[in-house]
Amino acid sequence: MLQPSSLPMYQEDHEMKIKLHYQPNPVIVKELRSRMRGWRAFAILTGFLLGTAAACYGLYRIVMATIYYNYGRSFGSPSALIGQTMFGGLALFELLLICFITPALTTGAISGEHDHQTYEMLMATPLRPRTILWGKLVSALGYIFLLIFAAIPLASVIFLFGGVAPKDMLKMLIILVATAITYGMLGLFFSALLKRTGRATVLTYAVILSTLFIPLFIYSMLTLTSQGREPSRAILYLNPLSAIASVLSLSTAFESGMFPSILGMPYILTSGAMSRVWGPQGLIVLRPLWQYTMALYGGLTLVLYLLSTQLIKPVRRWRIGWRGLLAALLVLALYGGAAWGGFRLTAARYSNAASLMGTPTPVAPWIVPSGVVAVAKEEENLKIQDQAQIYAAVVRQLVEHDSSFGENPHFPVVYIVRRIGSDDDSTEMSSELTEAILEKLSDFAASVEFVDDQLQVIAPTPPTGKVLNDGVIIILGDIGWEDETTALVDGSLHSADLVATGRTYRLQRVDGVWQVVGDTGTSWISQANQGE
Amino acid sequence: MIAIRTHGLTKRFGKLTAVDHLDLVIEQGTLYGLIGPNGAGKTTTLRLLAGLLEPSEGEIYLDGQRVRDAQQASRVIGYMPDFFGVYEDMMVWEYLDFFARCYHIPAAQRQQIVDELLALVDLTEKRDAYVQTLSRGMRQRLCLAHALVHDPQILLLDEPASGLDPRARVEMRELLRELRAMGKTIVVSSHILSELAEMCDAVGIIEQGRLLVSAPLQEVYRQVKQDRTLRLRVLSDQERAIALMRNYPGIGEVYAANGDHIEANFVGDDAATAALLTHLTAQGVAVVSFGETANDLEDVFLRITQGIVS
Repeated sequence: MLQPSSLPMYQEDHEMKIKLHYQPNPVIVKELRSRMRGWRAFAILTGFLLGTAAACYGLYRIVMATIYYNYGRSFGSPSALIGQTMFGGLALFELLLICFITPALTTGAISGEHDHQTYEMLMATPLRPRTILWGKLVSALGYIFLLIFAAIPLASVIFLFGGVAPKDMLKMLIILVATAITYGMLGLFFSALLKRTGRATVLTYAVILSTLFIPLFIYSMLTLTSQGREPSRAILYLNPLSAIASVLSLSTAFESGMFPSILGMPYILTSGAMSRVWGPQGLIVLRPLWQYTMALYGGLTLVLYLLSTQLIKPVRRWRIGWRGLLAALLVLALYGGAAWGGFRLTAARYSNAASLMGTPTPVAPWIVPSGVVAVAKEEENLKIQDQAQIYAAVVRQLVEHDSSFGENPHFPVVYIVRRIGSDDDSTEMSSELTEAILEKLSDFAASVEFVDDQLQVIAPTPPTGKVLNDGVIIILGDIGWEDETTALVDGSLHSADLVATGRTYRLQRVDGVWQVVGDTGTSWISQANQGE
Repeated sequence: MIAIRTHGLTKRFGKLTAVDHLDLVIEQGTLYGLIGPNGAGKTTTLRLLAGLLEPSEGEIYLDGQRVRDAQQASRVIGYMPDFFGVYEDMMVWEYLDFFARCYHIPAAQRQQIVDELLALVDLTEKRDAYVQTLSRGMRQRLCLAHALVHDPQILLLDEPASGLDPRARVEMRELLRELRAMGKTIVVSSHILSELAEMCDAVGIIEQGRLLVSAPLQEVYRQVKQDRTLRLRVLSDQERAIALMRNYPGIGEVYAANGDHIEANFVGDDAATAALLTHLTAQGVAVVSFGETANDLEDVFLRITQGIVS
């Protein structure tokens, strides 16, 4: 046993050292130590990865079986379709897992301390409530993130099949991570509020299930009862399933209904999540749902976090000092400002309608966001040389960068369809123009040919034929205007009837030459031929 | 120097007043026993002192400084709750290491402190055992050790010996004596009086939230017990001795206790007691032994709390 003199007397100087040494959050250290101990954490991880792998393989088999059942062996390359289906299936699989695992990890975090009667001991230490809360959140989410990120290498099998852009994968990850954080915070909030793990778990699951299904239910009910009128998309803002669907919706296999039919998913999941709708002036690109979801989740998480730091306290749970209140309001105002600023900055991408597909299709007026302006066709005002520069730049961009076949794939032939725009309102390129384009593309690796109709160069096994001579077809749209200096052109590249990618490009005159400066942030992949 | 002082400390839960204008003064370096029946307000008092509850009224001063928030209290106080749990999947050393981290103790000292504390509470060989495998007595000692990681000058221990077997109880008592020898102020609450009687320097008796008595142990006995219990044994003729005593002034109840002992309540000082013995021998009673029974805290407690409980 110790003599009194040998007990450390460090009280005075450790106060000073706190400032000098960074120490990891004790709660994180403790939680991770006990969470990652033993076989359980690794068994769950292994099970999760095996499940994901099985889901990937299952989706692959389902797509193949569906294609053979519907089309027989005449189907061209189903690769992109497999990639997209796997992507969508995996995204939903992981999302549902997150919805079910997160509460299990967080609802006991604070109430467990009450249940195990360790809460008072914790509260008697100088640990601040927010340190405890942060520690609990980080350690619980750390494990979920481990699951999500461990599945990335597995999910990158998707890229073997193609049909999915890395950007979409990134968006999916953002949604998964944000959903995990929000639901984790929700679990912690109820845990701190109710102090009982059982009740907190029930309530957390109830709220999560409501956000998952009630918006979809209301939306579909309104769709059914309002006879074709689109209900407000705001109903779906909080729904993570719709957020995921809105990422997927940019690929048209999903939009065209092929994807849901393969997964047996209800149409309601996708109908409200569409980001591209027909307006009176053509196709309108709406801000994708997931961006609203993320902004709302961020705000919700902040509010719950601030409330929980108060609720976790042993005394004065409901009494909030004016300083705390002011600080909380400031944080929320800053967040709101940042979110609003972000939406304002990117507003130009979405509020302008581009005359992408020609003919306006009649559509209910309430879909059209305010601020959409009709864009006059001004290519007559452009000189032929300018038009040629624009189209040549788009062709280059499509073939060399955006073909989704990697950098500089060597297509022996590039067929450019002479017809511009869609069937009903198409115009033919003048020979003057086609010659100018050929001239601009004279240094191109592939040989360039103009064709009157894409069907001329597609293998005669409809509807999925490959392009003749291993070439690609390029279909171009009218030149529209985003503003006075920025032209918008729709372009798509088809390596087979169903294997295609399309974007709306922004072009500006740089050093006197028209160049692609970006796209509208939306793209579609693999669309059935418009001409069918 | 005064380690703990409260002034009009009051805590109400709705209509219930758990602690009622408590004026507590505890000297530094004393082992103070807080006695009271269940529900008297002992735990509430300790929790108020530890900053886990906010007083409805009144002030708390620790080491002469007014306590305003839990953060401030947590640095000078080590608190061991009456019911406590242990984290699962955690080793004994990790448990102490966790609390040492909570008190922002630098990494360089943490290891040393953990080992020293394990030695202090005699758990060194359980260092790498899982906490949930420890016996009740060991957990209690571990919990005590956790309250010591930041070397607090004041220890608040809520029923530290409850549920312990006699051996573990003795060990706990030894430990508390040792801590007192280190100069710490220790407040121990208990409803088991005998264990407090043996080790406390001072006691406070609390009932229905009110502090009835608070003084050094000997003083309490003196204040409370104006009468004493005499215990004597006579060689023969017990009946006559009892009859004689019944007639003696100042004697209350007289009865034959176990075997051939006689016990009697007697109001009077030492001189009167001596006179009683002289009287008995003068009357020819053959007194074999004559003495006062040891002071009994239980008895004191019953007297003080009489009437209020019933």
